[in-house]
Amino acid sequence: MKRPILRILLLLLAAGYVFLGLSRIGFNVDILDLLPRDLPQVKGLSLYLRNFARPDELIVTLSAPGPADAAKTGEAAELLVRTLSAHPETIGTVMAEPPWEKDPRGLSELAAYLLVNSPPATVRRVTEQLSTRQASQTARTTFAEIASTPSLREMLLLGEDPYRIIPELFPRGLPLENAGGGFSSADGTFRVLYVTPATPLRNYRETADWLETIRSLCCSVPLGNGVRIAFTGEPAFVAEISTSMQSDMVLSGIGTLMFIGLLFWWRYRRVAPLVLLLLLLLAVFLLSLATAGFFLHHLTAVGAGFASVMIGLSVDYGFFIHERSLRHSGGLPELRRNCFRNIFWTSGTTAAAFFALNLSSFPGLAQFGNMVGIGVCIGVAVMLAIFAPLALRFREKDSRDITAQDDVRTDPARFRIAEAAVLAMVLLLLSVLALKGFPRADFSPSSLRSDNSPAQRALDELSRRLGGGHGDSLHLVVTGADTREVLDRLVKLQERLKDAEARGDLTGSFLPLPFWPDERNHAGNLAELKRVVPNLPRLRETLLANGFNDGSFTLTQAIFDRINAWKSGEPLLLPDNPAGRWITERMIRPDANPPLALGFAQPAPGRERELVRFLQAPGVYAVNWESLGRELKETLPREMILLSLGLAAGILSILAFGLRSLRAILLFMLTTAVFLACLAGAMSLFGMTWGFFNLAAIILLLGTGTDYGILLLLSLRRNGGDVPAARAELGTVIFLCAAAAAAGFGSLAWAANPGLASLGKTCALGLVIDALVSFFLLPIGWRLFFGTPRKTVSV
Amino acid sequence: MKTKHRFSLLGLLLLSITLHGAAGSPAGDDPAPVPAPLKRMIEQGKKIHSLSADITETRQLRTLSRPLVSKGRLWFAAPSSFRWENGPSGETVLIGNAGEMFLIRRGKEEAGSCTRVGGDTTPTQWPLGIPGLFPWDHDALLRSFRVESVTIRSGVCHAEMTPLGGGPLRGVSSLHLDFNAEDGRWIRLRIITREGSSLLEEFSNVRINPVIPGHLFRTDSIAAGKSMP
Repeated sequence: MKRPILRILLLLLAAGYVFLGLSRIGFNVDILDLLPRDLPQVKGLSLYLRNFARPDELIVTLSAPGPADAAKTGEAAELLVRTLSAHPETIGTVMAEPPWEKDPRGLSELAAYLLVNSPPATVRRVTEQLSTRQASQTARTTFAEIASTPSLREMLLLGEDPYRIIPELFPRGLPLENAGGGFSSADGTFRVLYVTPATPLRNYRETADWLETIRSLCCSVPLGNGVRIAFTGEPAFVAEISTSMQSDMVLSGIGTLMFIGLLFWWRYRRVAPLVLLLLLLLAVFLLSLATAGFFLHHLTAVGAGFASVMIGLSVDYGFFIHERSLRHSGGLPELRRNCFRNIFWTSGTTAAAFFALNLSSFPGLAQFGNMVGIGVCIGVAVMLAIFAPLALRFREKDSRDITAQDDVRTDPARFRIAEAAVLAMVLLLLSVLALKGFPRADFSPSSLRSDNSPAQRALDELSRRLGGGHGDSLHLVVTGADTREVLDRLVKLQERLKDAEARGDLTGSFLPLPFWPDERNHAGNLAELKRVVPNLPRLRETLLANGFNDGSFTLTQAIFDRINAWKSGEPLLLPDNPAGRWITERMIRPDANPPLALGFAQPAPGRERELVRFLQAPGVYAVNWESLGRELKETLPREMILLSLGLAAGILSILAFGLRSLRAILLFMLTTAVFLACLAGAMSLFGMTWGFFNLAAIILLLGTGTDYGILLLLSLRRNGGDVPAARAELGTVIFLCAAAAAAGFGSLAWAANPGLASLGKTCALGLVIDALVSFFLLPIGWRLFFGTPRKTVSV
Repeated sequence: MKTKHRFSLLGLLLLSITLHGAAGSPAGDDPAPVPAPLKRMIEQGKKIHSLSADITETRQLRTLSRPLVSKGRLWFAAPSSFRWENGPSGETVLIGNAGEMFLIRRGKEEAGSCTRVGGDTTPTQWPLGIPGLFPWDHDALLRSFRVESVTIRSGVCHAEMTPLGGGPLRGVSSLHLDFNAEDGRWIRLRIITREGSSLLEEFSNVRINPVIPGHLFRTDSIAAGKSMP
C-alpha cells in the first residue's frame, strides 16, 4: 500500500475512533461520585439523593423583598402556573400548592393504606371506637374537645375526623417535615413551584434545553416589581454543572493552548511548527478524551479538568523534541532515539504519579489521574511519531540559528542576580511559614460545591425560608436486602431513637414506620376493617345525633370505601394518586433496589457526632453534609500522606539506581523539602487553604515537579558538576516545561468546581516554585555538597 | 367542589405541621401602609402592658350541625405571658409563660392533666393556639396579614385582613377585627377558615393595664382546682 493512502486510512481510523469514543462519554454532575464510596456518609448521602431527591423535579422559587410585596409572589405563582400549564408539550406537571388540596381523595386513599398497614392493635382500637357500644361515646368526646380545645388546627381536624382515625395512626402528631409539603413561607414572601417535564430527560443536553425553555417561558411572565425568580432542584444542577464542566474543559484548554503558543513564539518565532504543535495538542486531547470514553462513560467535574493539565504536560515533549531538533545533526531515527530516552524517563514518572491517584479512595481524583495519565502517554506517542519528523523537516528548511540566543540567556552575571532573587523569595516564604504557620485546612462541605452556583444559592434560600433553619438535622436512610429487613431495621432504629432522646442526644425525630409496608398485618387488618363497612350508615347516624353534620363523615366514608374496594389476597399497593405519591415518595421507596426508607433526627446542640455514632448500624445511615465533611477530614489527610510517602519512596529508589550517590539523593531530598516548605509558605501568604482535592497536589508535584530537579542532577552528573553547562543544556526546556505545565494547572483556577480550582492553583504555584528552586538553588547545593567541578564537558 | 373544600382543610392541617418551623419568621423590614384607624389602635396597643377580658366564644364549624358557644376569660402581660380559660369553670386552661406553653384540662371525673404543648410563647407562635390569633403583637399582625379594608361605623372600627402566606395561618381565610375607634379597645374578633368554618371571640369587661398577679401565669395556680376570679 502506498504511503499517502496509508496516511488517509490512519486519519480516517483516528477520526472514527474519536467519534466513537466521544459519543460514549457524558457528564456526571454528582459531587458524591468524586468521594470515596465506602465511607458511610458518602454511601448514605448518595442513597438519599438518588432516591429521595427527585431527578426530574425542577424547583422554581419566587421571592419578594418585604412583606408588603407578599401578594405579588402569590400573583406571580398563579401566572406562572397558568403560563407553564399552557405548554403540555414541554411541561408534565406544575404544582404551586399541596396536591392534596386539589386531589382530596388522595389523602383518604393514603389514610386507608396506613390503616390497613398499621399494627393490629391500632386497628382494634379504631374498630373499637367505631363499635356500636363505643361510637356514640367517641363522638361525644370529640364534640367536647372541639368545644374546648385552644388549638384551631385540632378543632378543625377533629371536625373532619370525629372517630379519631388519624390520631390513632399518628399518636404523636403528623410529623410530615420530610414530606416536602413546603410551598410558601409563613409571610408569603417566598413561594415555590414544582415543575416536571412532559417526557423523561435522557441526558444533560436535553435537561439544559428543557431548563432553557422553562426559563424563557417564565421570563415572558410579568412577575411584578421586586419579585425574584430562581431555579433549583436536580434538573437545574444537572444543566448548570454539566454546562460549567464543558466550559471549564474548553476554556482552560484554549487558555493553555494560547499560552503555549505565546511561549513557543517567544522562544522560536516560527509559525509552521507552532501551528503544527497546537494542532497535534488538539489531536492528543481528542484522542485522550475518546480513549477515556471507551472505559468510563461519565466524566466527573474533576475529571473534566484533565484537558488543560494534559495539554500543559504533553507539550513538554513537543518542546523537548523541537529544542533537540534544532541542535540535531543526524537523521530521524537518531533524533527519536535520543528524545525517547529522555522523554521516557520524565513522562514515565509523570504518568506514574497521575496513575498513582488510582490508589486513592477518591474516585474523582482517580479519574483525573487516569485521564491525565492517558493523555501524557498519547502525547508522547503523537509527539515522537508525528512531531519529531516534521520538526526535523522544518529545521532543515530554516537557516536561522536559534542557539545564538542562548549566549545571552546563559550570561553568568544574570544567573547570579536570579539566584539571589530566588534565594530571597525562598527566605521570604520560609519566614511567612514560620510566622503564619501551615495553610488552614478547609474540609467543610461547601468546599465541594461551587460558590457561584445560582441553583445552590436558590436551594440554600429554600432551606432557609421553608426548612425552619434546621440545617443540621440528620437524614436517616434505612436500607436492606428486602422490605422485611428494612422493616426490622426501622423497628430497631425506633428503639435507638428513643434511647437517644432519653440520653439527651436528640430533640426530635421521625421514622416512616406507619408508611413502610408490613405484609404481616394486611390480611388480618383488612378482614377486621371490612366488618365495619356494613355499619357505616349507623356510624353516620351516630354523628348526626351528637351534634355533627354530614360533612363530618366524608373522610370516614372515603377511607372505608377504599378499604372495601381492596380484595382479600390482593397485594396492598401504595397510593397511586398525586397527593398520596407526593407524601409517600418522599419517605419510602419499597420498590427500589435496594428498598429504602427515609427519616430524620434533630440532634441536640453539640451532640451531633455522638448521635451519628450511636445511630449508625448495618443498613442504617445517619447523614448530613456536615458529618460528611468531618468524615472526610478524618480520612483524606492520612490517605494522602501515605500515598505521598509511597510515591516519594518510589522516586528515591529510582534515583538511588540512577544517581548511585547518597549525597545527590540527600541534595534532591533537601531541594524537595525546601520547595514544599516554600509552597506551604506561599499558600499561607495568599490565604489559600488545604482541602479535599488540593492535598493531591503533593502527589502530583512529587510526580511532575521533581522532574526538574532529577533532570538537573542527571545533567550535572553527566557534565562533571559543570553548573553553567547543565543550565545551558536544560534552561530552556525546564523554563518552557514549567511554564506550560503551570499554565495548564493554573487555567483551572477559574473552574466552577472549587476542588478542581484549588488543585489547579496549588499545582501551578508549586510547579513555579519547584522550577525556580531546582534550577537556581539546586546547583548551589551541588557546589556545597560536591565542591568545584572536576572537569567540564561542553554540551 | 364541596368535597374538595372539606379535604383541603386536612391538607392545610398537614401543611401547617410541615411548616411549623417557619412560623412567623420575619422576612423584611418595610411594612405595608397601614390605614389611620388601625395605626392608631396599634399605637395605643403599644401602651398596653397588661390586659384582662371576658370572652364569649362562638365556634361555627362546617362539620357541626350548630354553633358552639362558650364563655371564658383572658389575661395578658407583656411581652408574652398569657392565660386563656375556656368553659364556665375554666375547664380548659392554656398558659404561656417563660418560653413554655402548657395546656391544662380539668376533667370532672379525674384530677385533670397538664401537658406542655409548646416551647415558644412569642406571640408569632401563638397561632398554634387560638389566643395566638388575637392581635397582641401588632407588628407581627401586620407582618402576617394584609389589611383589606378598614371602615368606621358608629364609633366602631372594622378591619378586614387576609393572611399573607402559609404556615399556621394557611388555614385562615380572613380575620375581622372590630375595635373602639376612640380608645382602640377590642370588641370582637372573627376568624374565618378557608374551608368555611369560623371562630368568633366577643370581648367584654376589657381592662387595660390592670395589675395581674404573677402566679396567674404559672401552672401551679391550677393545683387548687379553682378558676381565677
